[in-house]
Amino acid sequence: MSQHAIKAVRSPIQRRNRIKLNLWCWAFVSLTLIFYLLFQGYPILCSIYYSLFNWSGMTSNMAYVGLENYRSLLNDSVFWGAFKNSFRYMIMVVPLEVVISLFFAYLLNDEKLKLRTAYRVSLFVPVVVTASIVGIVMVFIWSSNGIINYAMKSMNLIDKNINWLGNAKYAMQTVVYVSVWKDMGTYMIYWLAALQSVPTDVIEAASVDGATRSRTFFSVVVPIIAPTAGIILILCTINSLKAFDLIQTLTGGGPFYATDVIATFVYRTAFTSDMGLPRFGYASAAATMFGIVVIIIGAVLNALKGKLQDLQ
Amino acid sequence: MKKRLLSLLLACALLMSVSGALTALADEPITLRVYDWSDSTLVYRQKFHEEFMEKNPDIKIEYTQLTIDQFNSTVVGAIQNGEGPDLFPVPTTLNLTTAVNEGWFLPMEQYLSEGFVDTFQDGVLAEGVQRKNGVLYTLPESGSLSNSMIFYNKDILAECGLEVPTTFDEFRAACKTITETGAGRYWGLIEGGNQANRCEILLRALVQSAGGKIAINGRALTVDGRAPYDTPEMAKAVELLQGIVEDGSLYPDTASISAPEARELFAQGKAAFLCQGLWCIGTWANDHPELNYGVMTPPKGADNGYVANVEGGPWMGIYAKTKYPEAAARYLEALYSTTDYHYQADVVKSGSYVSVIKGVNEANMVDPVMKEYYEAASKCIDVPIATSRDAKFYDFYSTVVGATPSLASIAQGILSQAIDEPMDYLKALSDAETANWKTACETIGVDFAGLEFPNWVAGQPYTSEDYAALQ
Repeated sequence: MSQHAIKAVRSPIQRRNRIKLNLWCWAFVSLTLIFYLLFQGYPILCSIYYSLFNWSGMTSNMAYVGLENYRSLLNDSVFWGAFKNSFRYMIMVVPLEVVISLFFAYLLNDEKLKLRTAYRVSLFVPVVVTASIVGIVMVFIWSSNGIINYAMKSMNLIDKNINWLGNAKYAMQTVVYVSVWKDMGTYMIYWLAALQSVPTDVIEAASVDGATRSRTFFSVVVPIIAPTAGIILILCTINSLKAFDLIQTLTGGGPFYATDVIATFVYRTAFTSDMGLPRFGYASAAATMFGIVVIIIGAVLNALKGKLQDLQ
Repeated sequence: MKKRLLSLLLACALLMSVSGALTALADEPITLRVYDWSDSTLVYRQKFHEEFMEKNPDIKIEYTQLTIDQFNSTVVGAIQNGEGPDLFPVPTTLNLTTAVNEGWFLPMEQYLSEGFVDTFQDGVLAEGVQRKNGVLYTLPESGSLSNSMIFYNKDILAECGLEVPTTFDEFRAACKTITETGAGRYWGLIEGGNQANRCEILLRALVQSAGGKIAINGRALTVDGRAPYDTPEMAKAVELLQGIVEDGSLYPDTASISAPEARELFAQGKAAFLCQGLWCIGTWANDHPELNYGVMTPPKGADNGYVANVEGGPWMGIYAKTKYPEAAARYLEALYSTTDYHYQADVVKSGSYVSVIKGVNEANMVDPVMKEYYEAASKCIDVPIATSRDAKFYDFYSTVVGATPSLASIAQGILSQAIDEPMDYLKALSDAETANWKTACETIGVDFAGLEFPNWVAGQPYTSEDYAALQ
C-alpha cells in the first residue's frame, strides 16, 4: 500500500476521532456553559439593554434614552469618585494580597515546619466565613472602643482612639486591611499549589551549590512559579475591582463616599433614592461601563502574561 | 377470579387514596403571605398572628420581615412578575399613585365589612395617600408623628448638673459639658451616622428649628425659586453640627453605626441625646426598662424655629393578583380591630407607635414618655406640601432625579468630618436640585412655581386656607 493510500485511510479515521473527542469535550462543558449563559450571560445582556433606558426597575414605564445614561455618567462626579476608589482599592489590595499570600505560602510549604496544616487552615478560615459576618465583626473590632484601638494605645502607637471605619482619612485603608486578611487564604492556596510543583532536586542542587534560602527563592523558585503568578495577579486584580459585599457591610461606601466603589455605587443607585425613584437604567450603564474597563484590564494583563512567558 | 378480585381491591384503594387526598386538600388552610419591614412591632405582630390563626383556622399566615432595601431589591420584581405576596406595603421609594398606576393593589373597600373604614380617625385615609380618585387602596400603619424628637438621658443630665437645653448654644454647651464630665464613659450626642437618611432628618430638623423654610424629608419646596439648601438657617444648623463634632461631643463611632445601634447605645448610657422617633419607646420599654429618659423638641436656633409634622404615608394594601382577597381583607380588619384583637392596643401600650383607630390612643397610652412625646409632637406644625396643592406633583416624585451628593450624604459627611466646607457642597446641591426640579416639572407639565409657597411664614402652620389663597 502506498503512503498516499495509507494517509487517505487514516485521515477519515482521525477526523472521526477528533470529532468524537470534541463532542465529548462539549458534552462535559455544556452543563457549565448552560449555567453560565443563564446566570451570567443573560444578566449581562439584560444589563446592557437596561442601560439604554430611563427606568427605575420598579415600574413598567421604561423610556428609551439611547446613550443618555452613559453621557450623564461622564459628568457624574460621584460615579468618577467611585471609579477612582475602585482603582485605589485595587492598587492597595493587589500587591499586599499577592506578596503576603506568597510569603505565607513559602513559609508553610516547608515540610520541616511543625503544625503547618494547622497554620494553613487558620489562614484559610477567613475565606470560608461569609463576608457580611466578617463585616459585622470587623465593625466592632475597628470601632473606637475596639480591640485595635486598645492594642495600638497600649503600644503607644496612637494618642486617642480612632474610628477607623467612620473617619474618611482611614476608612479606605481599614477596608483594605480587612479585605487582605479575608481573601489572602485563597491566593495562598494557589501559591502553595505552584510551590509544590517546584522540583525538590532543583532546590537541593541550589542548596548544595551554597545558595541561601532567599537566593534560592528569587533565583530558582520565582522563575518556576512565574506563570502561576500571572494568573494570581489577574484573578486578584479582577476580584478587587468587583469588591462589594465586604465594603457594603463595613462602610456602605461611606463616610461621604470615601470607600464608595463602583459596585456600591451601582447597588445604591439601582435600589435606593433620597428623592424620586431609584435609577436602575443609570446603574446598569455604570455597571456596563465599568465592566468594559475591567475586561480591557484583564485582556491587557493576559497579554502581558503571555509576553512574559514568551520572554522566559 | 382471583385476578378480578385483586383488580377490584386495587381500584378501591386507589379511589380511597384520591378521595382522601382531595379531602385533605379541602381541609388545608390557605396560606396568606404578608411582607413588610415593621421591625419595631415584630413581637406584637407575631402575637397577633397566633391569635388570628387561632380564630381563623382556615388561614395560615406566612409573615416575612425584610429591610426596605431587601424589599426593593427582591419583592418588587416578584410583584411585577405576578408572584407578589398577598399583602404588602407601598415601598418607600414609590408613592400610591405610581403603585396604583402599576396595577399593584386591589381597591379594597368591596372586601371590607361595612363600617370598618369609619373606625379610622378622621383624615387619615386621605386622597393621594391612601386613596386614589376616591378609591381606597392602602391603610396606614400608624399615626404620623414627627420622627425628629430629641431623647435625653435624665441620669446623665443630673450627673452633669444640667437642665434640658432649649437653644442651639445651650445644646452645644450641654453636649460639651456632658462629654467632659463623662471622660470616655458617655458623650453628648449619638446618631445612626451610617444611615444617611437619619443624618438628613437631624439636619432638616435643625434647619426648621433655626426658622428655615425647608420641606419635609424626601419632598421638594422652593424659596425664591431655589431649592433652599444654602440658606442662612441651613448655615446655622451646619455650624451647630460642626461645632458638636469639633468639640468631640459626638459619640466617636457615630459615623459607622446604624440607627438601631445608636438607639441601643443611647439606652446603655453612652450618650445624653439622640434624635429619633416614637418607635424607640417600645423597644426601650422591652429591652431597657431601667432607662430614665425624657423627650424634647429639637433646641431652637431662632425665635421662629419650629418642628414640622411628617406626611402620612401609604402602607399595607391587597395585592391585585392575590387569590385570596377576602382572606386578606379579613386579616386587615383583624389587624385594626379593637374588639376581637389586641394588636392596636398592644402597640400603643408598648409605646411602639400611635394608632390611627379612633379611641385607641386615649384608652391605651400609659407610658409617660409616650405621652410626653405625643404632647411634644402635637406642637409640630404642618408645612406646605406641593402634592396637597396639586395632586399632579405625585408624578413629579416619580420623575425627578435626585442630585448627588445629596443632602443626606452631605449631612453624613458633616458628622463624619469627611468634608471641610459643607456650605460649598450645599450651594452646589441647591443649584443642581433647582435645575433637576425644573426639568421634572417641565416633563410632567406642571408649573415650577407650584413648589413655591410665598404666603408661608416660617414657624407658622400652613393651613387649608393658605392653600386656597394660592389658587
